Amino acid sequence: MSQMLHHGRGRVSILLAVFFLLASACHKSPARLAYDSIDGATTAVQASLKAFNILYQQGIADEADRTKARAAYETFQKVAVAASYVAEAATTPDERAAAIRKTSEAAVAAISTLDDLSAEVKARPPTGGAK
Amino acid sequence: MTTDPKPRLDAGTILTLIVEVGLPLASDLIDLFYRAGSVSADDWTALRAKTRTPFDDLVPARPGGES
Repeated sequence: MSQMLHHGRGRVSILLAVFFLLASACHKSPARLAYDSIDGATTAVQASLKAFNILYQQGIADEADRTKARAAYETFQKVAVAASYVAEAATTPDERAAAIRKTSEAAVAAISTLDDLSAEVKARPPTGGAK
Repeated sequence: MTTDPKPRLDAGTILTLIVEVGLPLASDLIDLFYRAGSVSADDWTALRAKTRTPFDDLVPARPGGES
């Protein structure tokens, strides 16, 4: 009987622990949401840039393409860094929402430019490999 | 204008947790609960460092490629 009680108690403990982990994952504050959004946008833009880098290192993309990629990335960087300062100093969810929106728009613009650039580069006729 | 909601645990929940899972685990879980919603100054600094990763680190110039 005591073993059964002990077993049941262990189960309750595990359930409580799982509940807590779920609750902690679900109650993201506006600050955490802003942080995760800016972090995710940065990861996505840098992933697009890494994809472009493969084309560049293979000699498929040229220096003019690299200059365009740099411009797209650096524009995003300026917005994301500014948004991180706004989100950190913000005292209301509205201010943080604005920072998230600006970062998202900048990330969409940068990823779109980088993806278009990569597609354009891939569609070009081969020029004979790396320079 | 709304202010940030501050999630809190009531005393009953904390006590139940301590009784059910023991103090060390309860302490870790409570810490996790409160940290999940907050972002420290160090976190923001680390995020800005990531965001400021130089373009040249992500797309290094090819040897003899840059004019």
